[in-house]
Amino acid sequence: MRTIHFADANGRDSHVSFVTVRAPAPPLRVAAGKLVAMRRFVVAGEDNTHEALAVGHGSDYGKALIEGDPEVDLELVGRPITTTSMVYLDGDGEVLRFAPEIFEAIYGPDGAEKERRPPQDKPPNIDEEIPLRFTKNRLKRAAAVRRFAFLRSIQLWHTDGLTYDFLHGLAKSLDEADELVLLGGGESGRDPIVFQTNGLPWRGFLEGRVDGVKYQLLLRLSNLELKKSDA
Amino acid sequence: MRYVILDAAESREELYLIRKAHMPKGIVVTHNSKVSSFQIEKVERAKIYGVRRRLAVDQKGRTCARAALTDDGQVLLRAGMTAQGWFDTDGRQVDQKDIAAEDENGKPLELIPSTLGVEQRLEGPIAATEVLDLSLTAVYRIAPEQLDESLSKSLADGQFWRFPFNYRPDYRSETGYLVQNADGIFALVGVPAPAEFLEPQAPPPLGDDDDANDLDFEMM
Repeated sequence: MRTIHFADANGRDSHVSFVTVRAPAPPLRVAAGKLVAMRRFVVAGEDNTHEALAVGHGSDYGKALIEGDPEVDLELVGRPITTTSMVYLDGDGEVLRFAPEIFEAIYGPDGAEKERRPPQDKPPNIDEEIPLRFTKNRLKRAAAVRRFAFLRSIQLWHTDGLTYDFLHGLAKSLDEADELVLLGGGESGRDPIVFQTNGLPWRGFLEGRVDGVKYQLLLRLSNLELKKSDA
Repeated sequence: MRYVILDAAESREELYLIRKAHMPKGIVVTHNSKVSSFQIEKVERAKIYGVRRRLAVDQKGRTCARAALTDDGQVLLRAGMTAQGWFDTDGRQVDQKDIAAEDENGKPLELIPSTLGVEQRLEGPIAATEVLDLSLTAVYRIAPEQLDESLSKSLADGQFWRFPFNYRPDYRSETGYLVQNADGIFALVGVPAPAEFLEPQAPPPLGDDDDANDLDFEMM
């Protein structure tokens, strides 16, 4: 079970458990009384792709399709794919035998490449010595809904009486204020939240609800604002 | 074909009618028995902020493509060589038309048609907490074609409205919420997923295997 280290507005910190809040599973798919599942399978051999056939047959490609089934490799087609290993193909389409050089490319909203640089790994920051901290950014719930698309929610979970008191108290104060508070990471206390190395960077807003002794303390995660695209 | 038809239009009015007939169907809702309709455009992160990707480059500086090698090393799967399909527990491929769905109790489920272009009744105003409990699957920026005045005022006042939404026929209906801000009107679509309230004696949570889903695939 993973834990998150965070501190409230008064600098009181705690390591608490968390789980992802999930939508109910989609309905089971069946056919003739048997469960079915989506799987990947082979539809063409290496010599039967559109590109390979176009090169192989040249101007006779259309005729070849009419007269036969050059796009079908009977030995391969329909074969389910289980586990595979990822390989790189070089500019000539051949399997790369040496480790490639890796770059990080930045593309603008218009799809044009803006910058190319050596890759930078992003370490996680949710359970480090420096806790995630409350920022001064607070939003009413309704304002947050109008401004951000919350794509993921995680629920903070107490592990003992002390963490229960801590989390219940925070949930109560946020619920009474009808507010979400932005948490920030890193030394500055303003970095986005990263759950694992090279994980998605999220803006995380803490939301609380209470029902008597029961509570919910939820970290609402967003990396998308509700705005029009300029592209 | 579409461009040939557009070229053949003899007037602006005819052009408008042809364009409208070929537009994808949008969201149609009723509020106090008055109809409002919207064209939809998916909101994508890459189109707002751009995107960051890791590229592999060969010795000549050319960008490498990715492919998959089967575990037995026999087949190199390049782009265009694979597809997805339904398979039963015996490994037999099943036609899409033969597939049905059932709930967790084995009860058959009806196919719910797409709601696009079909009037859906709005419910609300809805509390912000309910919208926050939505497990989002898509966000659309929606452009009004016809907007009821009272709905327009309600959205401008910051209220939220719920409606059934299915982009395509499915065995589960999704839920949409109308939301407005300075950048326009948006439809937030997803599946309601409220969290449980925790009591002081709540048992520890079950293990969470969600880590793998958090990888930034732009970085792969």
